[in-house]
Amino acid sequence: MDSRAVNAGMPRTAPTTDAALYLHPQTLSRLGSMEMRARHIVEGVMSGMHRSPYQGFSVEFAQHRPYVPGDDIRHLDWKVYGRTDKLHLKQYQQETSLDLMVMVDASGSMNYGSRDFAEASGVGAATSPDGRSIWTKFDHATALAAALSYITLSQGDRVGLAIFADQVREMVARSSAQPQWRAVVGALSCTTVDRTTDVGRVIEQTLAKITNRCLLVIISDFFVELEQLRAALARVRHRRHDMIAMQVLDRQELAFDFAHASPFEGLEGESRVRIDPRAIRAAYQREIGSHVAGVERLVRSFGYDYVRVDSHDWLGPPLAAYLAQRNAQIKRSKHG
Amino acid sequence: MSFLHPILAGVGLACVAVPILIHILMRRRRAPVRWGAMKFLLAAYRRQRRRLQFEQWLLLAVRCLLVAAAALGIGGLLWGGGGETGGARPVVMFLVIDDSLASGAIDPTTGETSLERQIRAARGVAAQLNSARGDRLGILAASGPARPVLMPPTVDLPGAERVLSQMTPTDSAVDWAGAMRILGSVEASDGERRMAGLFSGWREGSLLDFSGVEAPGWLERVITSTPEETVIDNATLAAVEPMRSVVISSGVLGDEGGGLGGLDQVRVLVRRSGGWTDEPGRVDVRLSVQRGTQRVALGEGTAIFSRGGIEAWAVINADLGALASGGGVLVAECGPDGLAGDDVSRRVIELQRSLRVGLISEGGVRLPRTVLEFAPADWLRLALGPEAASSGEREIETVLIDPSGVDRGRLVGLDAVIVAQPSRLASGAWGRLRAFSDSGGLVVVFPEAGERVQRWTDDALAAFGARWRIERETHDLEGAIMREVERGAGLFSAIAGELAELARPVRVERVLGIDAESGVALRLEDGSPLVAVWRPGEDRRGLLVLFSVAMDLSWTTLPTKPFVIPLVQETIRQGVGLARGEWSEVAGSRPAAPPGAVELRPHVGGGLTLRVGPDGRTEEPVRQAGAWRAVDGAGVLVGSVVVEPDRRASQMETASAERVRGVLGGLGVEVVMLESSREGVVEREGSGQGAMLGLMPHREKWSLGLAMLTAALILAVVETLLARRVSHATVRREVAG
Repeated sequence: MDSRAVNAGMPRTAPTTDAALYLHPQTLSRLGSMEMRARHIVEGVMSGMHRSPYQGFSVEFAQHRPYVPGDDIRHLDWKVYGRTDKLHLKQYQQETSLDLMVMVDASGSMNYGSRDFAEASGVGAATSPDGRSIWTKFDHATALAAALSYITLSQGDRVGLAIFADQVREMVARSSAQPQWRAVVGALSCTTVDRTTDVGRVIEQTLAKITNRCLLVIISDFFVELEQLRAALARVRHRRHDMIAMQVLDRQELAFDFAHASPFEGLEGESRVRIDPRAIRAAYQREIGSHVAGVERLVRSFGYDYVRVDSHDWLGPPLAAYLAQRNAQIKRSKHG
Repeated sequence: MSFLHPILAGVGLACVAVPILIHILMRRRRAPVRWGAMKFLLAAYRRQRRRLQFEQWLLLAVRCLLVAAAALGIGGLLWGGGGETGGARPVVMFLVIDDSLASGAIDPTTGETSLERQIRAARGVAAQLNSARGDRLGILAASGPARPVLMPPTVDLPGAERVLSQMTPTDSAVDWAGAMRILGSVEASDGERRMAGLFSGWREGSLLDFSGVEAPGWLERVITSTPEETVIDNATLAAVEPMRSVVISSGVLGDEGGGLGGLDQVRVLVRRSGGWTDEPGRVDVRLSVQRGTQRVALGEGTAIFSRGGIEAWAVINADLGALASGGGVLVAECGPDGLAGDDVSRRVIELQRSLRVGLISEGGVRLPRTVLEFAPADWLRLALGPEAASSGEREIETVLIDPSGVDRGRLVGLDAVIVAQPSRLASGAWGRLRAFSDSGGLVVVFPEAGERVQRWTDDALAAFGARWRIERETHDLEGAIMREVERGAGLFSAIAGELAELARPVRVERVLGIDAESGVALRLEDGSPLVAVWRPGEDRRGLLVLFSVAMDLSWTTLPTKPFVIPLVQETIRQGVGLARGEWSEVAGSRPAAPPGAVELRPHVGGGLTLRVGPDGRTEEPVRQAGAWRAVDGAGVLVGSVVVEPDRRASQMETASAERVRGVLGGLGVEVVMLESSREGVVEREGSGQGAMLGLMPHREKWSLGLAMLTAALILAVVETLLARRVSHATVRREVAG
C-alpha cells in the first residue's frame, strides 16, 4: 500500500466546500443538505435530550456542601446557618446544555495518510481543493470534529474549538448558535498542519480560557511522550472536566507493510533514515503498539473515555456506536 | 591458487562487484517516504541498527562469495573441460623423457619400471593441455644421444600420448645436454607459453654430466618429476676380461694349446649399488660364448663382496682353446636384480689356430752352428717357436721378410711384424708398417744390433707419430737389470707375478736410450725403459712395441736366459690382441666396425641391422646393448662388435629433491617439481606465482570446479534463507494493538 503525506504548512481553502468533503460517507450522494447528512451520521444517537452530568444551580436541590472562601454567597443556605451557625451552600441537579470543547491536533504527524482522497471523501472528488490526492489523519480529525460539533449544536449545546500543535494556534469560542458549526469547519479548513505537539502547553492554554466545566474532546494521534500526556490529563482532571481522547491513526502506521527499502523522512522535522521496512517492521510494530496501548491505558486510568479511530474507516458507524455506549453509561451512573 | 586465465579471473572479480553495485544503485533509486510516526520508526531503528547492519554486511558478503564461487567453479570446469579459456596463450609443452639405462629400474614394491612411472606422470601433464586452445606437445627421448621422438610439436594430443606410451628403456646414459640442444634448435614463436617437462627417476645415474647444461632462453618454465625414493639393489657387470682377446685354439677339449695351463682365466668385474652395499654379498656370474646363433656355456663364478665393498671380481676358468677358430663374443651374465639392463657384459674374442709373425731380417733361413753365431733374428725365431723341437705344429708361425722387401703384399695375413734390423729397412717401409699397424697389426722393433748409431729412429717415430725421444747412439751399462713392470700397457699382465723372478738373471750391458713419459711396459734398474708401447691409431687399434736392447749377446744376456721365451711370447700373443682392438663401444655411440665391414648384423634374433658409414662407424648411434657380426660386401664375416650398456647410468643411489633442484637450478629457468602418483600429477612445490598454470589433473580440476559450484549452491541457499530472514519476508502481517 502506498503511503503519502501532504505538504506540511499548506493553508486550506473555503469552509463551505470543505464541509461537504469532510462530512460525507459513501451514501453522501443520496443525502440532501449538509444538515441532513450530518444528522444521518449520528442517526440513533439523538433519541432525546441527555441529562447533564453537571450540577447546576437552577433546577432542583441535590445536597449541601460546606462554604469555602470565594463561593458565591447568593447560594448560602441561610436556614441551615440559622440552625447550625455554620455556612453551607445549596447544590441543585439541573438539566443543562453541554459545553463541548473540541481540540484538534494540527501537528505535522497528522499530515500523514495513505487513503485515497477520492475514496474517502465519497463525493467523487479525486483531490482536495488544495490538490491533495490522499486523505490524511488531519482530514479525518476534521471530519470527526465537524460531526461532533454538529451533533452537539443539534442538541442546542455549546461547542468550542481549539486547533493546536506545539501551542493553541486557533480557538473558536463556545457557542450554540447555528453559524457556529460553519465557523468550526472553516477554522479547521484554514489551518496549517505542521510543527510538533506539546500537549501540556496546549491543555494549559485551553483550560485557561474555560471557566466552567466542559467536555473536552481531544482528537489527535497522540504521538507525544506519555509523561507529557499524563501531566496534561492530570490538569484536566484537576479542573474536573470530563474528557474523551480520540486517537486518530492511519492503518498503514500500524501495519507498516512497505515492500522496498526506502529513505524515511519525519513530518515533524526528524532526521531522514534509510530503512528496509521488512527488516524493521516487527520492532516498529512493537514500538508503536506499546505506545498506543500506553495512551489508552493512561486515558482510562483517569476515568476518561478513549476511542481509537482508523482513518481508513467510515466515521459514522463507530462514532454512533460510541455515543450510544456513552449515553448508556451516563444513564446507568445517574440511576444506579 | 593462481589463475591460468587472467581474463577469466578479471571477469570473476568483476562479478563479485555486481552485488555491491546493485546495492549502491538500489540505494539511490527510491523516493523518500514522509512518515508521521517517525519517532517510533527511529526508536525501532536505533534498537535494531547494529543487528541490521551486521545482517546486511553478512548478506552482502554471502552474495559476493556466491558470485566468486560460481565464477571460480565455472572457470574450473572450463579449465578441466577443455573449453574456451578466455584468450589465454596456447601452451607448447616439450616432454623430455629419461629413457636411459636407469629408467629400466624396477620398483620392487610395485614391479613397475621407472620409465613407466615417468610416462604416467608425463601423460598426466599432457592431459592438462587443451588442443582447442592450440596447445601443442613435443616429445624428446633423453637417452644418449638425445633424440626427438615427436617433433615438431603437434596438436594431436591423443596421438602424442600414444607415442609416449610406446617408449622403452635403452642401454645408454641420459643426455640432458643433447636434449637441451635439440630444444634450442626449435624455432620459438611469440604468443605461446613454452614449457618443458623433464621426467626422470633422478637417481644418481640420471644426474650425470649436468654441469653447463642450459635451457633455451625462450623456455618459460621447467616442470620436473620428484626423485624416486625406493631403494633398489643393483649389480652391474662392469667388465669381462679374458686373459687374451686373441686366443689360439686347437678346437680340442682339454688341449693345452692355450699356452699357459690349458684353461683360460676370464675375470668379470662386478660393481654393486643401491641399498645393499653396507652388507657382505655375492653375485653369481655365468660365462658363455656367442657365435652366431650358437651359445656355448663356458663356466660360472662368484663375485664376493666384503662389507662396504662395491667392486669384486668373479674369476671363471674357461677352456677357450677347445673352441673352434673364428670370431665370437664372450657373454657374462648375472641373476636378475633391480636393473636388468646392466646384468650382461660382452667382449669380442678371436680364436685362431696360430699366429703369423713376420720377422724382418737379412740372412735367410739358416741354423747357426754355435751360440756366438746367432743373429738377433735367430734368437727371436727360437723364442717364438720353442715347441718346434717336440711338436711339428707351431702356434706362432714365423715368416722371414727381407728388409728391402717390406711391402703391402708381404704383410697381408700377418698378425705381427718383428723388425730385428731396422736400419736395413728400405725407404717407405716404415709407412707400410704404420699402415699394417692401423689395420690391427702388431709391430715390434728392436734396435740394430751391430751399430752404435741408430739411423732409423727418426723415420720410425715420424711414421708412427710416437711422442718419444730416442737417442741416436747407444750407451753402455754396467750389468743393469730389469727393475719394474708397469702394468698399464697390459702387455705382460699374464706373467706379472713371475716377472721379477724371471728377470733377475738378466744383465743389460748396452741400451738405446728412450725418453717416454708413458706406455713403458718394462724398465731397467736405472729407470730407463726396456720396453715401450705406443698406440698409433686413433681408434684404439694397432700397436708399436719398442725394445731398448737388441736381441744380441753384446747388448744383453737375455737371449740366453729363460726369460726370453715368455717375454717374446707374451709380447706377441698379448700384443696381437691389443693391436686388434676391443671392438666394443658403449650404448649411445656409433660403434666402429672392423676393416672391410659394410654392415653389422645381430648375433641373435632379428635385431637391428646397422649400416657402416664411410668413416668406418655405423651410420646411426646404437642405444641398445648387444653383439653384432660384421660382414663385408660379400656377406663374409670379418669380425664382431659389441655394444655395452653405459654403466655410468647404473648408479641406483637415490638423490634428494634438494639435490635435484640444485642441479636443475643450473638451467637458468623456473623449475616446478611435481609429484607423481597413481592418480596423476600434482604440484608438489612451486615458485614464483605458484605456477603450474593450472596444469593439474583433469579429475582434480573437475573436482575443484565441482567443489566451487557446490559451494556456490550452498551459498545460494544460505543467501536465500538469510535474505528472507533479513527482509522478514516470512513475518506475518500483524497489526500492533
